[in-house]
Amino acid sequence: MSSRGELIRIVELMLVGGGRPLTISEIAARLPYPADVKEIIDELNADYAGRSIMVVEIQPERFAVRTRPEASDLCRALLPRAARLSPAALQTLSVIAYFQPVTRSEIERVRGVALSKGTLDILIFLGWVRPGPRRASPGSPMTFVTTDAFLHQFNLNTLDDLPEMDRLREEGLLDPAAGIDMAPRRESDMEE
Amino acid sequence: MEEQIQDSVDDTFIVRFEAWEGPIEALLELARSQKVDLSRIDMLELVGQFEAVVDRAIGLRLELAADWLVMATWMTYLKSRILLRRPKENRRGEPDEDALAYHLKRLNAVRTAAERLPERMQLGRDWFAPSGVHEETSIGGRLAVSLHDFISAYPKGRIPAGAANDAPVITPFDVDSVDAAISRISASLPDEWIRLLELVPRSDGLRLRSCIATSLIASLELARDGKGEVSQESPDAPIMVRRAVQ
Repeated sequence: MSSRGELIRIVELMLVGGGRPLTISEIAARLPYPADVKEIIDELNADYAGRSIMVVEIQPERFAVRTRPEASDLCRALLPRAARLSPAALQTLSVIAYFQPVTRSEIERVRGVALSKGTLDILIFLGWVRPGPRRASPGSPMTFVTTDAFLHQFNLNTLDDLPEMDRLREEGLLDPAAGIDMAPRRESDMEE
Repeated sequence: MEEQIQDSVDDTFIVRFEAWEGPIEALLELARSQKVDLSRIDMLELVGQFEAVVDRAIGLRLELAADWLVMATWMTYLKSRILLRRPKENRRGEPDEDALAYHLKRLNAVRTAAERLPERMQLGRDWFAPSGVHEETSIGGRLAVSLHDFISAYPKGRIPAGAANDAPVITPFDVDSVDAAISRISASLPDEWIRLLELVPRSDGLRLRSCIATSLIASLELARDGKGEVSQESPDAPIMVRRAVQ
């Protein structure tokens, strides 16, 4: 039995059975002897050519098994349909993604409308947004940041992969504190 | 074909000013290149268009109307800041026209991103993770809860089950009206002196107390109109009423 084949089987088992994305160091720590994990994964992917799954680097140095998009119809039929987000929730999500860490009133300032209570709850419930560190400003308001699950959901390697991130940064649009407040202040802002 | 034209008209909110005319998307483009001249935008026209859009929006695509309203609100707000500039703000360098362009540009970027985000390959829609479910919920053998579950579990434990059903029931006030009392008293007022309390209909609680109050008011009203007479000999004596002697 070739030892190379054994390594490939171990990596495959970890990725398919692990149930979550694994980093290269996590995989390397469980190999019987040191080896180039990326090379093994390349060989594994060569094996998978023409099959229904593949190994993808979903974040830098982090790998996960994914079904091939062209072979995913059966999965879709078997699983409950994912709920679609409202435009308001999507806009809030992208404000958080671009401006994080961002406070509730900053989200409202960027969007120019008051944020309804349920919108953030939905995003937190989905696990795409979580509370971040409190801002060191009067009232120490709660900030919000996106999670790894958000990156995985939308097939983003890093936050820099967000659409037009570079352009926004160059044009200096990524300052949530800039501009004039227009959304009405509410009592709940004070509590936060 | 006819219908398509109709649709496209409804899908785009046209903004018209002396300085400028076009759909809201074009306004965004102009704001991006900083060509919107706020000082030439007429407030009255803007408010008029506001009303028209709100009226039309009821039967139309609400998200378009919402976008338009946000933009228009911004313009109204910034324009009014120019008109009502405080002396303090004059000294501050930043002109408001730039603020509008900045806000619109940023909002447009966020909107574009929000539209493009769902077009990306999505986990659970376009491709799937092992076992087909989201990784976070399928960590084998472990209790997988999110921070949201964790925090929302606390109030559920604190508030005993059924507490939500114990919300106070507020019954509507059941009180007599003065108008009803006037018609009642004037119909039943005898020619001889009679205690006012005997004319109060039988009831209890708040209703009884309100009937007594309205009967007194009604008898005083009738006395003023010359249809009845009211007398009370001493502060704690019963109030007597009778029909006025013509």
